Amino acid sequence: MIKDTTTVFWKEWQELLRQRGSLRSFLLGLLVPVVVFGVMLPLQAGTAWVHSAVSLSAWVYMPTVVVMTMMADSFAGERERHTLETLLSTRLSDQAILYGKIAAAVSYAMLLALIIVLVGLLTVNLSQWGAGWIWYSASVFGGGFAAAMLLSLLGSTVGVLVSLRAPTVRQATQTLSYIMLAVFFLPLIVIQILPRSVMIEIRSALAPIAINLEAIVVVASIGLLLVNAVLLSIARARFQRTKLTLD
Amino acid sequence: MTDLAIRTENLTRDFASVRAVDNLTFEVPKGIVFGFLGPNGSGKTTTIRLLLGLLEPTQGRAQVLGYDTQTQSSEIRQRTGALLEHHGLYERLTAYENLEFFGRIACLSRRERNQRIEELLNHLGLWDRRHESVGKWSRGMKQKLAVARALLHRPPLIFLDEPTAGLDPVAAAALRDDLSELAAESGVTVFLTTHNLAEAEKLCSMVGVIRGGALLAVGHPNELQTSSSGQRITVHGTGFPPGLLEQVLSLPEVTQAKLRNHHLEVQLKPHNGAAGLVRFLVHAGVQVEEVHKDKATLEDVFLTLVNEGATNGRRPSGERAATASLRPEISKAAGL
Repeated sequence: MIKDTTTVFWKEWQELLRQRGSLRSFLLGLLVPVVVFGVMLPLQAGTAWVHSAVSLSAWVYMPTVVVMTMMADSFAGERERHTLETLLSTRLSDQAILYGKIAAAVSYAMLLALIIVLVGLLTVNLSQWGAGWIWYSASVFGGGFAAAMLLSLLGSTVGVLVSLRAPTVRQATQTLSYIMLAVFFLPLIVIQILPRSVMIEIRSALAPIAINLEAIVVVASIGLLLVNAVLLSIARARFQRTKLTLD
Repeated sequence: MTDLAIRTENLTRDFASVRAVDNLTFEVPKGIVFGFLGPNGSGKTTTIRLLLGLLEPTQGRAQVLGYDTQTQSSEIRQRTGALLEHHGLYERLTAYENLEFFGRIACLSRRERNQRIEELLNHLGLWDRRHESVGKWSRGMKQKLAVARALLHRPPLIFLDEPTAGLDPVAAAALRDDLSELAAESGVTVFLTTHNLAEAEKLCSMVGVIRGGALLAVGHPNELQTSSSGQRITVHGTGFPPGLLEQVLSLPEVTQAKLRNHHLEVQLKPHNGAAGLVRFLVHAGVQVEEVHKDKATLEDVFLTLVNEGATNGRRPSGERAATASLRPEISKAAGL
């Protein structure tokens, strides 16, 4: 099972590296997120990028977006390019295919986030030259890493579920975009439109909890783990070759 | 150990109200090229999916290499290779990487993998282009590579679903040659679906004809040609009297007759000789100069079967298929 998962993982990475035609184009494609999240934002934030939770945006946003985009292509793309049926006609188990694809997406997202965070660290240090070497705090780095891992896993399981049902990559991407918009922007919109009195009430209710940020992170992580476990088992139940539409 | 590569019993698959495969019962012995012939939408691809365990039958059962398609499908997939409706190659990857991936799936060691890939690509004349992305290749080259992929792990049985469909005649002929060479070399059983009858005639030692999901006949092409379609007789001569054609058509052994310039073309029912017809013609005053007997081509057999299947409707064909639980050596659907 592990060997088969690794085989699928290997294939997914080979495809990923050639997604834009060549390895060079792939590396060039990485430049945009690296420049935005690894250079521009750290330059604006200064030392706050390293000492506060600002850098979490790189840990949280990038993996989720990347993973969802990759997973949209995972099954819908294979179906669209007529490779799914051939893949399913091999001895690979359903789980090996599923886990191999998820592992490839999560590893890519984590690698990208790590590159961005390290480039961000370099940017901050270069911009604060002479102030001594500045490091991320353990809580920011550890919390960010955990959040990235859990969110990319969440993104990939949601991506699998959408991709399994979508007839085309385009439709899968569209559905996942709506989900991302809802997750990232709906809370902001709700906060904007809530009456001021309600906001004050919420703040006062949350005030004692907000003091213990680490506890919130732990609770949120456990919650995400549970959600991931549930979604993963749903994805496993849905991804059965005899129940898939192959055409 | 069974000598059969494939055995199905009343295999049936419905999609909502549509019956895609209807009571298929047939056997394919090991080591032969079996052609599964039928027009588009006749259930060929669905049958392959059922045999590979990619679909579950609505009723009936099938065994492939002695394994049950419903309970042991992973064993079947482990021991079979497949070139399905689409070539299924990863177009972003190179030819070598494509085969490498499938070699890894088959658990071939690195050395074994490299050797086998080199051997197959050399055989197919693709070795020099192994590092090119498959997406840039012609359809013929992709099909060749897909054949190599199906044979990579030396499976005892391969499924080929319309392997030459969409290829130009030259590419199709080249692929056919490669296929028959590779199959003969490795002694593999080939289950080939096609609607190219020349291809079936050239490659297959046994064929099955399917229409509307139901099996119409199974047997060696030669035997089907002699037994299913009967003989075509051409009589050259003079003195064909008026009204003769109607009289010939009324003979019980005649299925079709045409009178052209100085010759009469007659299609006889199976198992009927020309002697009775010639005697009748002489008696009617025809001066017979020459009589030719032609064997029906596989295309004639196919068209006869398919047209009869269409005339009879699907159910009767299904019933015939069920009774044609056919012996490998000769198996003609009952009633034909």
